Amino acid sequence: MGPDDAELGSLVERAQGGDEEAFARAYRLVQPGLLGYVRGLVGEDAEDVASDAWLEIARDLGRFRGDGPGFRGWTATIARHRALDHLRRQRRRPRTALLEQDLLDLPGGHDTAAAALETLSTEQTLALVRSLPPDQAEAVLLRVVVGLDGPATARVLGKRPGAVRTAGHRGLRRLAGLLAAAAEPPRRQRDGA
Amino acid sequence: MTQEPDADDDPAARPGTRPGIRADALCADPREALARAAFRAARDAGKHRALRTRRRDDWRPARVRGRAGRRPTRDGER
Repeated sequence: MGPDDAELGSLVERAQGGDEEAFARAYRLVQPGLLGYVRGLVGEDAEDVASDAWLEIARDLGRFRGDGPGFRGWTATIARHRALDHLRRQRRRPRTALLEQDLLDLPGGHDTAAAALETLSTEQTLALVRSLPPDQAEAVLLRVVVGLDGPATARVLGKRPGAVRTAGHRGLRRLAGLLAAAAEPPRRQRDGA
Repeated sequence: MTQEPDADDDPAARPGTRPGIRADALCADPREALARAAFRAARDAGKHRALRTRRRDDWRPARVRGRAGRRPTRDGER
């Protein structure tokens, strides 16, 4: 459970009781990760798609049952459906599918990628994650950017937990390699510093 | 399909309701303001109480869901 999850659960409960300010605070806790996830799926249209998702979330809030992490999973599922609708309308594949496959041939590293990703800006993170195959990218986005655990990630994706765990591990290993390559400064610059 | 807030459902859009400055009028993020408007519309239309929980809306731990049993749903979700 993340540091904000207990607070989020309480805010959602109050929002379900009609407290608009609690809803707004829940929005502010969830929106950054949700927007990052949607951006990984649809690219530059992410703000519009996430906004559509929030209209549905606001309308259906009374249906939801669960705690703070559950709310992240529920909202991610709604956002995913809106993103897939958007992509169907656009008749194109997710951006993650369009990137250079050569990047994937970089050597793998260790499972320190998740920790390393936390030190990057959202934009840097998303740029790296988009370079993964779609199933790995989505698993990593849900784990690292939205903050879901393995079972919740599997539920959002409608897949078996084992398959999602494998995709997530492979994605993070790829990212570790990408991060290691990106972090290695040119020798001349390092000497001059 | 894009979900648009229904202006007819938004009590803030009706005359004579909720006078004074609303919190979202001061909100810097217009998308947050949209979400808040949708929240108010659903709440004031009673949707937050009327809509039933479907299986996909129940994110309680599996053991709790199991204890609660399978409630019948109206939405046709299997």
